Amino acid sequence: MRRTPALLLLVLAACAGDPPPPPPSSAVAVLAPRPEVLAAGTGAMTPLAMALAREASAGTGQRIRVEPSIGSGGGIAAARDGAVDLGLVSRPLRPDEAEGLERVDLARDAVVLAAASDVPVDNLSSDDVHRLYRGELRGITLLLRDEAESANVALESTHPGLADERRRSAGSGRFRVLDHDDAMALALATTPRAVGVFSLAAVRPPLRALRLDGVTPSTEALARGTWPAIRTLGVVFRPERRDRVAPLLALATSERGRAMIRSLGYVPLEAGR
Amino acid sequence: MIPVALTRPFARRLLPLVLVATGLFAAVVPLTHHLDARTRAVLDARERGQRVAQLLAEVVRDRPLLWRYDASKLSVRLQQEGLLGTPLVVRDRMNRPVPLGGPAPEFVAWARVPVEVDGIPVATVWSGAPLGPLRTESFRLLAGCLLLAAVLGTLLFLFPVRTVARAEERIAALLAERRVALQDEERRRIARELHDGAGQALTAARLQLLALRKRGLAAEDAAQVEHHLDEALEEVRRSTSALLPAPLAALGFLGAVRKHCASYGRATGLDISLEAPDQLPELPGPMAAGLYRIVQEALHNTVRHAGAAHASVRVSHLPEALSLEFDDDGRGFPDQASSQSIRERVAGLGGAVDWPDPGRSHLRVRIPLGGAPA
Repeated sequence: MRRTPALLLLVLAACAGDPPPPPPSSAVAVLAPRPEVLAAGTGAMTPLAMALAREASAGTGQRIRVEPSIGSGGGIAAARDGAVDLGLVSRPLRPDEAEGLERVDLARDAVVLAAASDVPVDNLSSDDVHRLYRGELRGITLLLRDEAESANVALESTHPGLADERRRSAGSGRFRVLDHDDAMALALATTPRAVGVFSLAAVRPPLRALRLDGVTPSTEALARGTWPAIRTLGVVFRPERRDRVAPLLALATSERGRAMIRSLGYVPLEAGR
Repeated sequence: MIPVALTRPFARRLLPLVLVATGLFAAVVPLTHHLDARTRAVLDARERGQRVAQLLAEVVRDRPLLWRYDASKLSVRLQQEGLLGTPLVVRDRMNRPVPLGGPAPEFVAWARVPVEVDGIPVATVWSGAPLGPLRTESFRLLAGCLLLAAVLGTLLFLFPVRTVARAEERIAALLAERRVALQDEERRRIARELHDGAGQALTAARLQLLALRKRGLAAEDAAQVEHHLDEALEEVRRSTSALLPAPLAALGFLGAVRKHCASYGRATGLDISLEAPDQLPELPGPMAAGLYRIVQEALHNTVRHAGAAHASVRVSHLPEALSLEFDDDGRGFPDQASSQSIRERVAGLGGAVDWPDPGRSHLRVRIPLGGAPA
């Protein structure tokens, strides 16, 4: 009988669970800068950022490290928290994200539908793209990035209704979702007859970029404005870290840097745009 | 009928017990189910939380600085592992949220799991067990148990109460029967006392007076004494007659038997045919009472043991004797003990009982009219 209350309390404790999570910390604690300059963010910009970092390090002796992709949102948040000095972004910032950060746009990237060599088409019409999203193009596997990723957003912004079709097809197995560019490249290379949303700059043989409505994706088409699916690549940073990132920004906006950007498959922008 | 107060006190005692028992049943079953299911849900949530913590620990090991900024990819991995279907909250070690998506944490029991890498706390996972469906299920079970408890409670209350009510009626009937038997016994005893005591003494005195008168006692005086003694004797007769069964006093033996056959037949459904002469010689009170009780007892035995539909009673005036004959179409009496009371009464009246076929209820009783004990 003496043990009954204790047993009862034990049962109640077991079924009650633990206390709920406390309210989250609202204070933004800015981390101290690390010895080396850190850059992280969208995977769409990683090859460009790595090339610029190598060149800037060689010129100034400053150690600059580019982390693997954490997405535009992760780059923005990390830059705001001071976890990195440069956040790499491929989409516009929301007002709440932009607060306390400076942004410098560096390049434009073409978003394309990349395909392996076993895909028996070179050109897709807009109607084909919709049919592909609806799973009506038999024999082709569609590979997409996660919903908020900038490549998806860029392609879907040029094809009205495409986002709704993707949402309707979610869970039906009509497409696979890859969570970063390396995974997309690997999936495109290994999945039979796969077509995926990808960056033009990241397309390397044996992958190829499909034409859309007869337009061949290229930096020239991008520069001319005839390729519709584009995204702007840039960097964000806290103003007090400007000195730490200045050498890399200076290189990126220099003629040499613009040439590097062009050579990597992007279209350079005027500094500060 | 003697009132026997059993049912109401029993019902008053039983009702709270039934209410408590059924109430406990209705409450304990859903409560136990709810607590058990809730405990299992929390354990499941803890197990999910531990899997998330393991996955997070791997991610933190790979990217100790930037893991919390890669929430979308972490989200995709959790979704692939099937860990985002229930509420999930992840905070880094500075209690900053890591947005992972998943269902809103409404009406949830939490399981808290710390995430450590090489013994260093890096984050905390709260894995939620949604309680909404469980609450709905428990309320449904409660409603079902309440309904069942109401039915069971009604049966648990009504069944014993009805049984006690039937027992109460039976006890009251038995008591009434016993009271009548006791009254009869007492009346017989008093009548016997009067008859054997005062009656015998007065008779002797009267005879003695008659003898004295023959030997020369003044006729007037003797007549006077004789008159007083006659009055006393009459008084004793009236008194003993008053102690006889009421129908006997009012209707006489044959009238009382006719009335009893009719009323008993109506009460029990037994079809009773009575065959009797129109008149009988006047019977002494105790003899009439004894014969009347024999008729009652014989019919009672028929109903109680024989299971008969029809019974016959025949009263015959024989030379120097009175005969009572009973028969029915039932299965007979189980043994001689069932007619023991009749045998005792007949023996008390100086008569004899003839039971020719032990397998039947056929009884013949013969009472000598002159030889009955006074």
